[in-house]
Amino acid sequence: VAPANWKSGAENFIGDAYHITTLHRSAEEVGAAPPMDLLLDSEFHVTLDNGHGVIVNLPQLPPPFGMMGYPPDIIETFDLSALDDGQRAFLDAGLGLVVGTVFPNLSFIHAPAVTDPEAGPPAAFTALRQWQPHGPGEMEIWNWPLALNSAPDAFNQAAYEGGIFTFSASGIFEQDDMVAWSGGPRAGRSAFARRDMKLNFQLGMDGMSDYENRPDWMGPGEASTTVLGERNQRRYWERWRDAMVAS
Amino acid sequence: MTMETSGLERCSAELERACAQFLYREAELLDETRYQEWFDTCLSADLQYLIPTRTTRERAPDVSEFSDVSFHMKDTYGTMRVRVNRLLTEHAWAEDPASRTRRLVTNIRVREVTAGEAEVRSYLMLYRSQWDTVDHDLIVAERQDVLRQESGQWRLARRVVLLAHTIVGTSNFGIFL
Repeated sequence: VAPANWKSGAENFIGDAYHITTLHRSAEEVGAAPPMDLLLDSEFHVTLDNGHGVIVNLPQLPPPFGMMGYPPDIIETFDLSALDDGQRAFLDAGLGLVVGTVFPNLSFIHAPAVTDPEAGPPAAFTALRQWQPHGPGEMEIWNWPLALNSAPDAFNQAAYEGGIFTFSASGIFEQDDMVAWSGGPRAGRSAFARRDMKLNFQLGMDGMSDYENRPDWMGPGEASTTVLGERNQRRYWERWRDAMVAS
Repeated sequence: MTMETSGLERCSAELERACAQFLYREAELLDETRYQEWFDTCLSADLQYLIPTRTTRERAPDVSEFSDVSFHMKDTYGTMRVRVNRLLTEHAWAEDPASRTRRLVTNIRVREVTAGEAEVRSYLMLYRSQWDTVDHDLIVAERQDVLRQESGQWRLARRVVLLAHTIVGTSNFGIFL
């Protein structure tokens, strides 16, 4: 249970990448994450209809790591025969998923996790999470770490341990995320904020930064050249506004 | 996810006292946020540190409510070092300002396994408050520890934290139980 609004988790996972260089700096400093500015440079947004969206990344781990950050012996267990041409093109381009939100409150994360820099290579984990509202200022987080049917137990176990070390109640990333999420409502209720402050979601809008559409995107949706923008977040909130006005 | 519970044989008052002193000192170091000292003087290099998730289920004999596959925390000495190093950076926001904690450690039961190794069970009630608020979290658990004497000093080799909670009522485990 966390003292934050459930939409903060959804909004964070749909497109907020610029928080990582400051909020998660400690993970980089202790060797549990690669340099955050390199991560930012390798990511971009994919904006989908109906308030859904994901962050996609270019290859982040050096060889031999390949598809979606997995090592070769895991990749060769994958059965890719059911993928369509677009999905094939996505993987052939070396792209992978980082985080995403299915409107309104289901998100996922897929990332290579380091638990102990001296112990072994990062293991890519995948987790689903549901942000369950308890009210405006409190939510319950449901977290489902996923395992690969095809992978050996040892890999799934390493991925699981990496997943809970980074994103769970004890996760070294999630702990700090919660500070930002819980601080928003408190700051927003202040007299100062109510009088003068407007939340700015203009990053990446026309003339604001170098945020363009990628010409080589295989679809679906629209993909951006950089992750330093807020298109995904704006679409999420637009969908939320529409749902609120309609009801 | 429970330890052998049969036969908590009597142990010497001296051993019981040594184990209790270890737990009290550990609580003091953690309450005073002396993380590095805790890591350096309390933990064994082959540490296993587990907080299994607790499930809600029908009462059934011999079936544990605690998962043996699902954990809030599953750490080793190496990963604990990363956590401590992180807390010592200037950017570990979740614990800056640090939580104000008091660890009340009670109901200590000691079983000598071999000379220099003991199974120690204790109850923990942890008061936690942070920021300018009157609110606080209360975390309650039993801890099942293995303490080992290394070079004359007791160290924690294994800890299983059995929470009294199914849903975690504090926003994170950025503090150590």
